[in-house]
Amino acid sequence: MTLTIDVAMIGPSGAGKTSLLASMYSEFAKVTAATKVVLAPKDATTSVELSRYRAELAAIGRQLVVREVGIAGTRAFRQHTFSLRDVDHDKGSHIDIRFSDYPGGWLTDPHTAHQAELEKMLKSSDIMMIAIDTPAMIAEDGRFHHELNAPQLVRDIVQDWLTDQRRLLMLVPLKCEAWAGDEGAARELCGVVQKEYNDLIAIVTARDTHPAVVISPVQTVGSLIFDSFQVDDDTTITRFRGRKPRDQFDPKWTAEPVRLVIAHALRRQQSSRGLFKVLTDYLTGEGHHLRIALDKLSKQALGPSMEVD
Amino acid sequence: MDRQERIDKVLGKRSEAANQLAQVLQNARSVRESIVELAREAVSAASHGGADTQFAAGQLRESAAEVVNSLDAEIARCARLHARLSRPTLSVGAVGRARTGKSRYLQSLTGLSRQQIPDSDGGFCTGVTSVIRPGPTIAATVSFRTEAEFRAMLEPYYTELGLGPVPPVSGIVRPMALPPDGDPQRAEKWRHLVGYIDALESHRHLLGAPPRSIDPAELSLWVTQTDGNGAPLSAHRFVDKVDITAPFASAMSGISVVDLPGMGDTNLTDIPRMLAAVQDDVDVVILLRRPDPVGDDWMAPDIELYRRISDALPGFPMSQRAFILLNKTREPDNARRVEAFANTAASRPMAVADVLIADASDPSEVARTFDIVLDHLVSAAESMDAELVDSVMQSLASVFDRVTSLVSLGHEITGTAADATPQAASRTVALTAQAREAMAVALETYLELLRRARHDPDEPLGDAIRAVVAAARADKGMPTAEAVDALIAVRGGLPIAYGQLLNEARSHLARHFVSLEGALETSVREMKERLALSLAKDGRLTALANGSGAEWLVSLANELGVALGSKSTVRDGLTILAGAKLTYRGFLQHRIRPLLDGLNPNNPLYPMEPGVPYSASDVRNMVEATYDNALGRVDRMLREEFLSEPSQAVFALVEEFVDRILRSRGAESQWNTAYLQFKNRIWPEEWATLTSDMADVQRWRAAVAHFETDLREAQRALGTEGRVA
Repeated sequence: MTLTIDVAMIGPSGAGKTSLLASMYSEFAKVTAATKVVLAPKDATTSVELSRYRAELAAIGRQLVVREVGIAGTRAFRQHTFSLRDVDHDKGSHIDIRFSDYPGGWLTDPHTAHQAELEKMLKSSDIMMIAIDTPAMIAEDGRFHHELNAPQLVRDIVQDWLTDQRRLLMLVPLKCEAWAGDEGAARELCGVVQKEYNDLIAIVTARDTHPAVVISPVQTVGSLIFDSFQVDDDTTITRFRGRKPRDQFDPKWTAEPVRLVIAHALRRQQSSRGLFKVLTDYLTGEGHHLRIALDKLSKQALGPSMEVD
Repeated sequence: MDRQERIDKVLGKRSEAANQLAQVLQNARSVRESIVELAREAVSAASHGGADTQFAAGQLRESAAEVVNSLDAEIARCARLHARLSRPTLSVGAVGRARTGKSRYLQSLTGLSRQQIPDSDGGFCTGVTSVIRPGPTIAATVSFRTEAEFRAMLEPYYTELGLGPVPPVSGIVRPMALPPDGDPQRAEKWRHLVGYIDALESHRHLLGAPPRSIDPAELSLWVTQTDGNGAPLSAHRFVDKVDITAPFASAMSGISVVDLPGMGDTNLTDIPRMLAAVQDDVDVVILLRRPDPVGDDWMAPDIELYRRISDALPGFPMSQRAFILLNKTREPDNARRVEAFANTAASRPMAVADVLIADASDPSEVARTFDIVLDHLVSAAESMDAELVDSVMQSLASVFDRVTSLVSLGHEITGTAADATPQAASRTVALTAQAREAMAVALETYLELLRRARHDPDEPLGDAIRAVVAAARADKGMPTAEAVDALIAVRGGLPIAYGQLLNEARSHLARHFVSLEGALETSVREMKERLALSLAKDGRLTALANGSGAEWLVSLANELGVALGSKSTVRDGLTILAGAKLTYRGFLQHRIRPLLDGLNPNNPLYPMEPGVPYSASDVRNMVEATYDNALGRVDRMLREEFLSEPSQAVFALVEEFVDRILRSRGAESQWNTAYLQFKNRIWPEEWATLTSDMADVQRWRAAVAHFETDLREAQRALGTEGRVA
């Protein structure tokens, strides 16, 4: 038996969603070494794609003068499914986390194929992750924030998504190395996100039963920091530079969003309806060992995240 | 082309030039008449104007008088040249003192007899100018002097002898005799004069008589001073000239020979008469001389004669238009003296085209030398004529250039003709208020426009910034890795090389931005152009300044300085604005430099950490990354903070300008003074209505218009229209 937790990822092209998944997948093992939980790609495609992606990212991350604009991001709708297993009890049932990477363009282009289907799927996701392009939000006084992060559109999507269930809304600032060098700075960044998405948060928290809102910054590369915007005639390029020559690719806090997903799922198992009824049954039954491992994992913060009330 | 064809061609060209000159002459006379008219009308036209107007009228009359004098001289010169070019023949003059064989020479040349061209061998002496032309038969016509010409001829004698002015012919009487022991030269002059006066009684009827055709055999009676028996003859004194036709030894046409009277040593009247004839009727001249076989040499009278002829033929040197002809006689034989004369002529102050030798009594020798003279004349005439015409036209054109000064004086009088009338004062006040108001509205409107747009980005500057940033990104001046290696080796270490590379990169980057100065200038230049246009158009100041933009503003400031003096806020405002600039150093440099700090080796963006094994490639990458970072910072500063700065600076400049020239204390009265002073140039058309019912001003306007038309026409004919002296 397999349980699937759906996470809808929303954010502009190039915000770093795919990079996040690639880093998360490889870094998760390091931070969960002490636990008996492993996160593994469910299928070979995801595994190959993300491995290659990570290798490219690592290569770029070692540069001082970044000559490439970045890695071409996802243009089409993609799903990457990971399985959570207990290493000692790998047989039988397990929990899947399915990240649905909604293409950035789709957010602004209503003529995308299968739109109705996508919208339906989006609405049914219990967890929504908003990827935020941090340079766009902060640099040059947020000059490109509205253009890239489209906070109003995001607000509308979230508004549609709201139900009277206690879902999870995650705001994940990516490419934030320049502003969140350490955990202290990262917490300040969370404050900035809270302020910039104030409208959205207000709408969400205004409901009697509202989703939990968490802000969880991630350094997807670690070794590159924002340098400047290069504004040419009709394109804007975000320029990065290395912290020092031949610095190592060193993503940070990439596992924290996964931990938050797990923690949320565990909290929701108290509920007796739908998916979480099934989850409760599973974890109290054959998934008992996994339950203990996840419990342990979910209590240990893997990055500077902040919950908003 | 044979000689006859060449003669005809020269004459044809002369005829064309004469026609052209006739038009020029007519134009010049029209201009002269209209200047006279202008001077005549100026005073009464100026009577309604103020002191300035009357002063201008006085100036105009003075200038007009001076210009008319110059014009008269040029017109006379032009008329003479016209007469000369209208002459149907090329003309050779023959001149020589008495008994040089001149008449013999002419007899040999023309085939005329001693009766027809008397010579002094028979005791005759020619007293009259004869013009001899080739013709089928021998014929002669005598022209007589008018009374005025006769009196003019006596005038030098009256003057020399202290007899006062010459009375009318009917009142001329014999003067009292001189004391017997007096000056012999005066006595000689008295004798000459009495000869004229005594002859008057019997010959008075000839004065002013029509030309008379005569029997050529009787010619000597009209032109010689004594008859064959030595008895004095007087008719020559009343003859102006004689025209003779004769079949020349060699057939030709289009040629005339002018036989000029021999020079009596004391006969004062001969010289000016002869010179007048030489100047207008002779193209080349032959000076005849017959050396005496014994003890003769070039004498002072020879040189004096040469000098006088030279004076009478201005414009061309005698070396181009004179010949000496030495008369070689067989009896007595003067061959050796002739040779000596020919050899020494060049050492005397008597430059000529050639020294010829001929026996005047030998027709073939005469014809040979005359051919030489004619050949020279035909080949030189064309260029000599062209030069003379050109010289006359140029002198006339330069007089016309001076005449143009009358145009501005004329306009000043027209413009100020109504100054002293009460209507003029109130009209000036009204017009000034209007212009000032329009100017103020235009300036305030522009200022408001700038105020609203002062935070707007400067579009041309934005384009320039994009271009400069793109250029700085494309051209980083980054050394190759090998060059970095070499530098490290030369500088003796990586840190020193790193410092030098940072310095070089900083300087390279800074240089890119200097080129923004052009874009800064553009916005200021456009502002100046706009303001100049407002002042010119709305403030009606077009006529006071030249050029455009800053140049126009400076020009206006200078002109207003005349009226307002040097301590004028209006003038200052114009001068300061015209000189205002936004420079890279003053405006941009201090903003850019701090952003390049990361490229400073003392505080680099990438400090070298101890113990790290940096490679040359690392160093190069650190410099390049720092360069990119600094460029990004400057780019952002320029785009975000700087783009509206020029708009703000331009607004500030214009606001201060408007404060100075409109709002400062005394500005209004300065403008009033300026408009009053220049009102005639600013509103030239306004004053016409005020003088429309004044007849004298109407006449004046007509005179000015007439004058301008004539002058323009005359200048157009000379091809100098619109030329300013």
